[in-house]
Amino acid sequence: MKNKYLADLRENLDLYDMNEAEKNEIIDDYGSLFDDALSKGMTDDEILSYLGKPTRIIRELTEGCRRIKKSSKDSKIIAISPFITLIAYLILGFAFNLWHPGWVVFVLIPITAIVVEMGKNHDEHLTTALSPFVAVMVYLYLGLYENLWHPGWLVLLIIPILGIFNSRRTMKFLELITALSPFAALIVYFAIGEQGYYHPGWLVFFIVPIIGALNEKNIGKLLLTEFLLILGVIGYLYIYYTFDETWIALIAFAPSFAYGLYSGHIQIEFGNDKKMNIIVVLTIIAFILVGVLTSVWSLAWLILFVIPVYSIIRYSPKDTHLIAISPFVSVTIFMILGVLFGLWAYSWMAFLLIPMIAIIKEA
Amino acid sequence: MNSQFKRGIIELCALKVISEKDMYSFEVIDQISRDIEVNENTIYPLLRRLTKQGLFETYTETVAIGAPRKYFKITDNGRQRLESLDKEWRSFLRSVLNILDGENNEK
Repeated sequence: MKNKYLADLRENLDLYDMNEAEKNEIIDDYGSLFDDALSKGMTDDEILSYLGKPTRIIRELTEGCRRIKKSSKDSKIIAISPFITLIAYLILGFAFNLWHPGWVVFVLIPITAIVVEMGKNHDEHLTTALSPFVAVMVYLYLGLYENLWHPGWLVLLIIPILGIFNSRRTMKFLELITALSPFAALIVYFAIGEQGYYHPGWLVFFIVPIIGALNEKNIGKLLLTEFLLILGVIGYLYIYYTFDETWIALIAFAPSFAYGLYSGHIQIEFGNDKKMNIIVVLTIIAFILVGVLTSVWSLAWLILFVIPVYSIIRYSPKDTHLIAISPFVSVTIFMILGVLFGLWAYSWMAFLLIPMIAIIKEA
Repeated sequence: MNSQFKRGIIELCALKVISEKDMYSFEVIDQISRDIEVNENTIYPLLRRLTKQGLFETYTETVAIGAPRKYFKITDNGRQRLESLDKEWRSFLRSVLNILDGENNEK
């Protein structure tokens, strides 16, 4: 670990115009810091957090030095990837008539850049960054070839799940489990649902507050909350199966809901940004309405883009709007052309909008 | 807290702790991070910068186990800088407390 850390640090220092003696001195000093930390009984992760990753500390260490080069091997790999991809695409198209789904090879361009840039720093978010590409490809495969748009979309959950999981170093175990619980519940819900038990299978979502409540420090409050939640679930099932009354069965949750309001675990508020909250609520309603009315869930989810796009427009600097919004526009065009018109062979070109906008903006 | 602001405070703290006793890098980080939350090591680069500015000088000392340790020692320039930063910081704190306690408003 120490050798790898120092090697990474050296690689980063080599990107700057700094004399060798100074670089060697820094490497020696960090070697000593590492030894001192080890002698204090710190783990590798703790040391990394204590000393800072080389990519994070390099700016401070090289203050006043000019950046002289990018790693030439990495630059070459990134620069050559579009050409290799294009050749592969043409071979697949002309030789094997695989224009579709041969276009998938273009995804290799951003994937190469991400792997090269993040891989060399052993960034734990590498899999997070790659997950959208892998998830969308698997999703499209399931949809196009197996006609499993639903529940195939569940594979998209791998994106937030990996995002949370890869942040585990900064989270306590209970926080990690709490953050992952909604996704686990959703997957279990659809697994049960597909067996014909969507109702009362939705009760599985109670695992979220049941786990979430474990974060409560006061043991009395914790036990009461858990008891009322479990009582609610059991009560609901009892009333539902005894009297076959769904709405009346909901009464079973009244005690836990009332206690949640009383204890402050449940808060109904509109926050400071009322406009944003209204947009969120309206967007979710529109998503559900469009989905239910048209059953085209494979497109309906695009409505949810309104939320990040609105927040970009509202909170980010004006001159970055176009670039920041372009991925959402591209995905929307990509999905509409693909799902509505079956033009998957061409719709990928929508992604070219992203670099095009960036180039025009920088010109 | 604004990172630039915090950087200034950490500079003052580093000058102070080393003015009391010569220290090696890890010792300085350990000492300061007991009282102030320091983000991914800003202290070592700071020690280098202050050494380059002539506020610290370094010397190595052999230890029983492992490589020799590099110690930081405050210079006369460092002490002057510490004195001036100390005055500035105390006067700044007094002004902030005046505002927070509403003394100006009562006058």
